Amino acid sequence: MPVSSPAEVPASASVRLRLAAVARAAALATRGVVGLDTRRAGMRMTVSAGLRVDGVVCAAMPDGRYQVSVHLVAAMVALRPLADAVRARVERDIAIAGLADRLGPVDVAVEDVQAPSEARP
Amino acid sequence: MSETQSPRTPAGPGAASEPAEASSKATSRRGNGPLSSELGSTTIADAVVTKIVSIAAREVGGVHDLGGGAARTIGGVTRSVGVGPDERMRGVAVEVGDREAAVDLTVVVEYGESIPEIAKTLRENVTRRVGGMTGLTVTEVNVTVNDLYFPGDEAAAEPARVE
Repeated sequence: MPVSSPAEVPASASVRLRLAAVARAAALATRGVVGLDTRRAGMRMTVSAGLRVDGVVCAAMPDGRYQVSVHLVAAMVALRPLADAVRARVERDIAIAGLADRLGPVDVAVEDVQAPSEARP
Repeated sequence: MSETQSPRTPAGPGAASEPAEASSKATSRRGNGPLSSELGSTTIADAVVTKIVSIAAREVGGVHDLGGGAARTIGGVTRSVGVGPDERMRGVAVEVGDREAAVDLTVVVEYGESIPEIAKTLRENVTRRVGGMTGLTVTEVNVTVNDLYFPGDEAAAEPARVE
């Protein structure tokens, strides 16, 4: 079942899934992010206990932290500052969620841009 | 009618690399690029650069369309049946490295326009847009004008037999 908000993830869920849900919400809340990219089915999602977070991949690191990769679709804005803003917001929101000690690097991949004339369903 | 031909030398991994070589280069790209740090990396997909180039090229006055004749014909067919690649990608090829990008453009120019002037404006606009949005330095924009457009070309098509 797809997760659209961190509130839908139970506290008993895995750290991996909770990180992914917070990262997804943080990315979508960043101005300039149009959506998350899920076109490569099965590759750009985090799945755990029947729940699925699209557009974010969380991978365990040897030190117990998780590397978070966010795959996004951007508006026609400066992309590097946008990626930095997404990273900062993800880190901030994960800290607020009390998971900062489990967070490793946050990779941001701009997979597509949406021109003003494009209408995305 | 290629405007320029010069060796492409974008920094970072090239699209034509051997798989093993590309893999090792990708590793170094992650570690050493200006878009990477201890906090994470930033990746801008080639398709993103392609789309920016395409939009930038279409902004230039005198450019009627992008792509070669065959690509435009096939694009018209695939568009009519709702399949096929993104129309905006047509006529654009990019090589993207860590800091630099090289662009090949194939365009159809409106008859009567100055091709050297259009090519110059294309280079300026593509360089500005790609640089502004991605931070990449565009090392070259190779422009190929492969057709001319005459106003009224569409009118030459056969009229519909039914209403």
